[in-house]
Amino acid sequence: MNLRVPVLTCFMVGSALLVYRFPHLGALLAYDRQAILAGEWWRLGTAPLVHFSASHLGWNSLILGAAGWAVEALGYRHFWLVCAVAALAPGMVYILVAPELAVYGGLSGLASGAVAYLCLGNLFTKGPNRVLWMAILLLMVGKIMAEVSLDVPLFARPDGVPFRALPLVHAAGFFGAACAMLWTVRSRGQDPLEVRGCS
Amino acid sequence: MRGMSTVVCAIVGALFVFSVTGCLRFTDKTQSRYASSVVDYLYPKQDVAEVPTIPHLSLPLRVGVAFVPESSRMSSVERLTEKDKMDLMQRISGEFRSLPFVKDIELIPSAYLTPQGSFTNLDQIRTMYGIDVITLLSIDQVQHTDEGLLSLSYWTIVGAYVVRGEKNDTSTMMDAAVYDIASRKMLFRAPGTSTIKGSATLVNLSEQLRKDSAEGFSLAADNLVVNLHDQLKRFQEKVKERPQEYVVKHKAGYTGGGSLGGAYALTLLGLGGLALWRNKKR
Repeated sequence: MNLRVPVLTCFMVGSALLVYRFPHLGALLAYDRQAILAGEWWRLGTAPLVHFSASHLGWNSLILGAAGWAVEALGYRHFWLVCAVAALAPGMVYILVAPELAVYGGLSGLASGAVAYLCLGNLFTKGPNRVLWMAILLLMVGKIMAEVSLDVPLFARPDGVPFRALPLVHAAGFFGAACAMLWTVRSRGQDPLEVRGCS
Repeated sequence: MRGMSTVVCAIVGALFVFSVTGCLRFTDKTQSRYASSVVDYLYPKQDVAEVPTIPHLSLPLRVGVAFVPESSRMSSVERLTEKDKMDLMQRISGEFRSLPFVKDIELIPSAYLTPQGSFTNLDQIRTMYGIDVITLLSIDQVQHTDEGLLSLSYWTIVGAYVVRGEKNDTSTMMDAAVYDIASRKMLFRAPGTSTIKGSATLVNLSEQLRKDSAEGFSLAADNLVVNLHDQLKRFQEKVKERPQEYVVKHKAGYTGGGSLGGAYALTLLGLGGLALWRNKKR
C-alpha cells in the first residue's frame, strides 16, 4: 500500500506552530469579533491557527497531526473539505449568533474532524474493528454533548488560561467529516473502500 | 627685593587657595534622588486603614496603567517627562495586550492622578476609563557622582573637557503594583531594577547623568516586564488554589477556545492507534 505525504496536515500544524511562535501573527489571525465586523474577514478562516497557551497548541497539534497524517497517508479523499468546513463554519456561525464571543481560536475543530473522518471511513469498511471506531466516535459525541450541557471545557485546562468551552467547534469538525464522507460515497457510488486512492 | 617677596607670597597664597578648593572639589560627592511611592499615593493618611474586600474579577479585564505622582517631600528635578512615561508604559503594557483574559489596556496620563489621591482618585479614573484593575508604577532612582584620580587633570583646564574623571552610579528601581479598584485589594506586584556605572568629563557631567538616568529607566522597565510575567503566572496559580479569596467570573465579550485537553487527547490517541494497528495487522 502506497502511503501519501500528509501535505495538508503538515501545513496546518506547521502554520499553527509558526503563529504561536510569533504572537503578532496571532493577534492578526485570531477570531476577533470587532475586527471582523470592521472588515477583516480572513479571521473567520484563520482563527483555528491561533492558540492561547502551550498546552492548548500542543494537544490540538498532536491529535490533528496524528489523525490527519493517518487520513492523508491512507489516501482518504476530500480531507480538504473536512478542514474547510471545520475552519470556516464555527466563525460564520459565531459572528451571527454569538455577539458575546469576542475572541476564539484553536485547532480542535480540525482535529475532531480528522478523527471523525478516520472513524467514519473505517466504519464503512465493515471490518472487525468497527466497534473500536464506533467507541471513539461515541466518546467524541459524548464530550460535545457534555460540554454543551455543562458549559465548561471537559478535560481541557490550558495552563490556567480561562476560556469558554466551544462545543460547536468540535461539532463543525464532525459535520465536515460527514459532508466529506457523503460526497465521497455518492461520487463513487460503490464500496466506501474506494474512498481511498489506494487498493 | 621687597617687590619680589610680595610676588612670591601672592603666588604661594594663590596656590594655597587653589589647592584647598581643589581638595574640597576632590572630596566632593554628589547624590540626587528621584522617587515616587505607591504607599504615599494610596494611603496618605496613615491613621486611616483601608480594608480590602474579596475581589470579583470579571474576565476579560480592562486594565489601566499609570505612574504614581512623585511625593512632594521627595521630589527633585523631574527626570521623566510625560512622553517618557507614556513610552515606558507602552513598552510594559505591550507584553500583556495579547493575553486572552485582558480585553484592553489603557495608558493613563499622569495629570489624571493627583498627589495623595488614594482610592478616591482611583474610583474617578475607573469611572472615566471603565477599567477594572490598575497597574500603579512607582520609581526610585538614585544617582551618585564621585571624582576619580583622573579628575586631577582638571587643573589643566583642558582635562575638564576631555578626561572622564567623574564616576557615576545610577541605581533604578521600578515597581508595578496591580490593584483591583473595587475591592481595594492588591492582586500582585513585581519589581524591576537596574544599575548603571559610567563616567563623564566635568563639562558634560549633567548630560551624561541624564543619559544614564534614561537608560536606567529603560533597563529597569525591561527587568520589570520579565518579573511581571512571573508574578502573573504565580497569581493565576493562587487564584486557582484559593477560590474563596478571588472570585472569577466570565462576562460577555469573552474568549473561547477549541481545545481537546491532555487526558482526552491521549485517550483518542490510544484508541485510534490501537484500531489502526489492528487494521494493519489484518
